[in-house]
Amino acid sequence: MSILYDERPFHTRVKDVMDNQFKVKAIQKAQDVFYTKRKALVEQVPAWEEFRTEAAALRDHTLRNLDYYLNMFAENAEKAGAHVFFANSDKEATDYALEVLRQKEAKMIVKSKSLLTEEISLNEELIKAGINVNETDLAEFILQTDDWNPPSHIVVPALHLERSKIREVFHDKLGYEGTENPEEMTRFVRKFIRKRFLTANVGFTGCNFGVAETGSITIVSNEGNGRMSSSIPRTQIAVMGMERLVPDLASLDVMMELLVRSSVGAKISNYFSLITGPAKPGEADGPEDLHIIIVNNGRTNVLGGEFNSMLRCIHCGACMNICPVYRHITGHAYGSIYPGPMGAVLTPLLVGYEKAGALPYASTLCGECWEHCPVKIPIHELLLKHRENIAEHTNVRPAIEKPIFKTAATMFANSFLYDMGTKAAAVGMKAVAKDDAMPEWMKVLPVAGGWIKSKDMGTMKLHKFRDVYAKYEKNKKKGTF
Amino acid sequence: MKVHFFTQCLIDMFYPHVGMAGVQVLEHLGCDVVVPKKQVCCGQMFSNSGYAATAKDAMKNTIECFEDADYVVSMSGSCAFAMKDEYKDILKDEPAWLARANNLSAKIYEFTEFIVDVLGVTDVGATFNDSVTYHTSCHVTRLLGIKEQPFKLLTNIRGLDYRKLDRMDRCCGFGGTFSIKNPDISAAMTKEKALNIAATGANVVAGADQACLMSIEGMLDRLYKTGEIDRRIKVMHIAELLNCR
Amino acid sequence: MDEAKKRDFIGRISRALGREAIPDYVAPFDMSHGPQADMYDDLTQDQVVAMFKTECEKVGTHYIETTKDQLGQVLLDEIEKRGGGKVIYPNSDEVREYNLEELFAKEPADKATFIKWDASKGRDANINASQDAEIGITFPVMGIAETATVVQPSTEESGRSIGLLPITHIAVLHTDTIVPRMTQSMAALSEVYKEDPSSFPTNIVHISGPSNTADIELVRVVGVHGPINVTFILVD
Repeated sequence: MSILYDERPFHTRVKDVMDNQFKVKAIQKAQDVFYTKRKALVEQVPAWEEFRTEAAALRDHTLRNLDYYLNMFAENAEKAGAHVFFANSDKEATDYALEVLRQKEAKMIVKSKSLLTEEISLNEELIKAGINVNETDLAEFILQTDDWNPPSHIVVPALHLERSKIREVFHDKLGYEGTENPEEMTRFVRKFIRKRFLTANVGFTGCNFGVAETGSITIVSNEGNGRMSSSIPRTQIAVMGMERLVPDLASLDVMMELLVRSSVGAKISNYFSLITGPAKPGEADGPEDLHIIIVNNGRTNVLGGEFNSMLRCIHCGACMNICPVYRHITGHAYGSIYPGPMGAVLTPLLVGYEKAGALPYASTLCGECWEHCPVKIPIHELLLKHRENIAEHTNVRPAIEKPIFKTAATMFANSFLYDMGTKAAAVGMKAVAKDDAMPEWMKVLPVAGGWIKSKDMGTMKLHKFRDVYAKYEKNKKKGTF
Repeated sequence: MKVHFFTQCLIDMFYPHVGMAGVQVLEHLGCDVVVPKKQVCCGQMFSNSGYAATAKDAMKNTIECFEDADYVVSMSGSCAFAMKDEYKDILKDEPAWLARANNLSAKIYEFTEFIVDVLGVTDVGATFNDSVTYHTSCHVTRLLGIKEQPFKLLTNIRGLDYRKLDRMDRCCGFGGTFSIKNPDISAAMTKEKALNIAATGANVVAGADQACLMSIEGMLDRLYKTGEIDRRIKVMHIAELLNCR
Repeated sequence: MDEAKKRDFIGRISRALGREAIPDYVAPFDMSHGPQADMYDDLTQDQVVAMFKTECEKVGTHYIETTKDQLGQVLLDEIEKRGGGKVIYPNSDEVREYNLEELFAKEPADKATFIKWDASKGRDANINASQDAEIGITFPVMGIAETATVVQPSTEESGRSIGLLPITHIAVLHTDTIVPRMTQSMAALSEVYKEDPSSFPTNIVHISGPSNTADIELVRVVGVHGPINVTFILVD
């Protein structure tokens, strides 16, 4: 999958999602569950806000010195025996991975969950090269089996599929004959994928945090596929975004305090692997070769600039777990592997405003994402910056918008023009109003029509507050009010 | 105490009685209220759509209105946030205006914040005999950090039967021009809010940001008409509640 | 590592950060004032152990308390309770310290058979033995009370597969190794690394219960790829 998997217009995608109420309800239920669990846990951490402040400062410190820490990371990873490759682009990253596979004569690979591998279209490139690719995260396995159905959430990507659909996919594609019971289906997958783990030549993993002090990579997982991919195949290839570093082991303590609580409302993931180099000679399992591919792919355009704080992101999904807009349009309306508030900031940075210019408007700027973000990314402010850039420097918005805003702004900056304009409007509204509300036929109108279609709209008053108050003030002076 | 009053254009155009309630509550508390005639709009509806440069004239006009004020009280939390925070950012390249923006930023208060934190009053002596639920608007709660003040005032209204709103701090779906640009998403959000309000059993929903209230009111009225809620629920600005005696 | 590629890559980062070269020195981020620094400072070791047990109970992780003398028998009982079968265990000091092999030898074969991890037999033999086993026994080096976590390094004597491939994982943890938070466990690991980077374990997994998922309609299912049953045996 590339960053954008659905390039139809935003409103088309939204309509598609809103017509599928199972999908919407599934996301709402997930939000509610995560909200309740997270809230209960956070209330048990009196220093939660201090942890957020510390984590944000830690991320900023790392980003400000990213060249220093990346260099340290690479040196220490090499000392531990890992091969480190620096990929400026997605293509450099996938080419390197393919070269490793060619050298190993690898035909089959297993893969644990990694958004970055989606970003660089790793699966497509591997499949093109004739490699047998196996996603092993249960949700991603389901999506792959369903002919690469796109993810709707970064932490629980297959929530939009009901169990009966999953059963049908397993039955049709894998000959599954069991019931639609989640446990039974999970056991089936366990058996199915276990064979792949035992025979795959290479395990691909992502990396939650690279540790500069030791050159280690880390993998957070609940299912155990991250452990499998980094323990059983003879070769491990880990793909890491260049910003995903922490200075030292002590930093992991702070990040892990926040990551899992924010992500799924649990204190800790079942597994948290700290991997430092390949297996040593003499160890009987673990990868004989560990390759770490560090990816830029547009991140240096963000680093140090006005969107720098976006690179603090640790991909926890807290912003989409809370976003009231995401709640009604799910990940699929964003059309990007990075959905929700974080995706609405990140996607335009990675693919440009021409392709993703609608996303920064998919927000009410309510700030709830910022309040829940474990590293305090001011997402609402970054969305606003995007809007400013789009309005000032692109032609993404409809051509009519700018003159409308300009005219309105002139009127709303001058009490005389405003008074004249609103008087005329009030008279107009009064003339068409029915029971002091705009009639429903007005939903055909531009601008206000969308509102009137689903909500009532009252009329503007012939006597505005300023008029009422002027009279009140006059009477008060006369002492008659 | 002399208090300059920022009405908010939406209240000016659609809800003059809310503005009057605000004035009267402040007067009742001994304030000498000044309403500058030159004021119109804080400019946020433009800047939030990305037209920061376009918004400057409205912002400068607002700054001029309150140049001589000791305290400025805004009837809308959202506008108060713009004046407190956004003006400084948008005018940062014009030093003279930046200084004036900073001056305004230091003396702007949201309505409930002013009563509780500046006047030190939590009981304004109001009586309101009905069931009321409360929506905490995002800009008031999250961006201005005003969380407790409205409730301190509500609890002291005699006769008021408070009903807690589930997820009271979740956005109502208004979002300025969001409601125009993405009306279907906005409607879905406001509908969920309206149904939550109906589920409290309250006859009145109140808030401190008229824009949210306008959206909620439009939805409640529509849902009543379509039969999706069983009663007409009245929408009131908290100033109106505080002005009931 | 392709040095030219690395220079080019990191050079772009330096330039984005407004400088020509990597700084020679960066003052470390000061974590001494963070909230984690003095959390649980006032707890005794007994209280820390109690917290570990409470957390186990909260998340439903099965644990058994015992003493050094009783460990062997407790282990055999737990193996029996978990259905017996093939059991894989590490070739580590703890096994010798508790004379476990003697005990294992006495166990009737219809209850349980025991296989020792033996790196000298090579990769396939050990991975296959773990795959065939129903139960794997390991000896984690530390416990973390706040999250009921055990810290399990892999070594030549105790491979990754033992606690991963069998359906049941029994982890034997000494209570005096339990620390309050990852703050202390990471500090300890950092010391190990600083003393001799080459002796640092290549894989350290933090385990906080059985493998699980909620990927299908958010229904929690235990046991996806890793062990379905986990028992912590706490040795006083």
